[in-house]
Amino acid sequence: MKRLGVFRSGRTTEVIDEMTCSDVQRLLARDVTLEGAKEAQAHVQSCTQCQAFRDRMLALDALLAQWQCPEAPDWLPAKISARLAALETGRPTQVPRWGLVLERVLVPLVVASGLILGALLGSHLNRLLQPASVETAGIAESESSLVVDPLTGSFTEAVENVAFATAGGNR
Amino acid sequence: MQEKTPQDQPQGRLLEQVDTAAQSEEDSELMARAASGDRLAYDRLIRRYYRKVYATSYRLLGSAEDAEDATQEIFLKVYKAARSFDPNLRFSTWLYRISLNHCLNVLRWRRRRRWLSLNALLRPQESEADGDEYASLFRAQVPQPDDLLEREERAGAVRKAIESLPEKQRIAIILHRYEGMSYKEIAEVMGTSVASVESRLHRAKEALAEKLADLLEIDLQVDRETSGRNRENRRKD
Repeated sequence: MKRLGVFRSGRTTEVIDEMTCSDVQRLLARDVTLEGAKEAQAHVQSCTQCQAFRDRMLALDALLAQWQCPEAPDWLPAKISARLAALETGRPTQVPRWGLVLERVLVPLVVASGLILGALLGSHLNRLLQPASVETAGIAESESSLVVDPLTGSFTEAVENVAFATAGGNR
Repeated sequence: MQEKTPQDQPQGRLLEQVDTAAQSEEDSELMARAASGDRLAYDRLIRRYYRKVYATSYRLLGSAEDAEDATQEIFLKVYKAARSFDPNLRFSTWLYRISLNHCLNVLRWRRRRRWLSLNALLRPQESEADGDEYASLFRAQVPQPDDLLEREERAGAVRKAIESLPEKQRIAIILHRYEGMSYKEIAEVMGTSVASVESRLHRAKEALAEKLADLLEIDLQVDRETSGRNRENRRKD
């Protein structure tokens, strides 16, 4: 199919080039009826590939139409108006500038100080609980080792009790 | 595609454009009055646009309940921002921009909280959009007439396919196919060029044709059979 209507060397209209299938399919994807695009319409009539593409686009359009939206409920405008009225009477429509500043500075400050305090408290508690945990671990444990008897020259197993020293050291 | 000159357009469409221009001016006027505290003017705008805002929200968010909430929030936001409305901009474009931003924020928030909640199990529509099978299992237990079920399944497949598109393509196809917006209007709402809208729509349609290939093939087969039968009947006559 020829593309018409392009001016060259003083003539009013002249045949310049051919309309390709990809040109036509781009137009079909934009508007499947090809309204006002006579050249493209003529191309489709003589091209089975573009006919198949058009049929596919038509079927897709029909398929997309099957996803329907429910009607918006009639009470919505009244509800919005009521919420607007409540907004106007309940509190000022605009937050004062100093309020925004406070909100932007104070909130992060409080959060950050909370985190720091939490960390400090945690480490302090950890230090307080540390000795107690060592104390509870003060369990006598047996440790065995091989000892050479100087008289017989034989090896005997010596068992000695090892007590973990506690903080108090009296166990 | 060449832009059509006014001479090329049918008279009906020209009248439609005049109407749209007049309405746009009226909208701006109403918005100016609303900004100075005229609630009646704003009520008129709400009544004029709430269905469109609801429909867009529904298509983007996927549930009627979310669309109701979103519509309310959007109109509250618009009212609060009334003073910042630029009268040179069309009210509907501005409203759609706010609507899109609100819905996209809801979707982002929903995505963030999804991993924490059991929402997918509790809300059939959302879970189905994620490829979750629970909803379809639940619905399969409810007896329904065959054609209704088939229609619902097809609508569900379309919704799922659209929801799986990249965000910008999804918005473009919703505004174009379901809201009937022109490429220029979509470009204004999305803050992009007409060429970019065209390319997004083209890619969206190609992706949808691929995702819905099975259903399309069935439809095309039915069409072919019907037209073949019609041709045969005509030959017999």
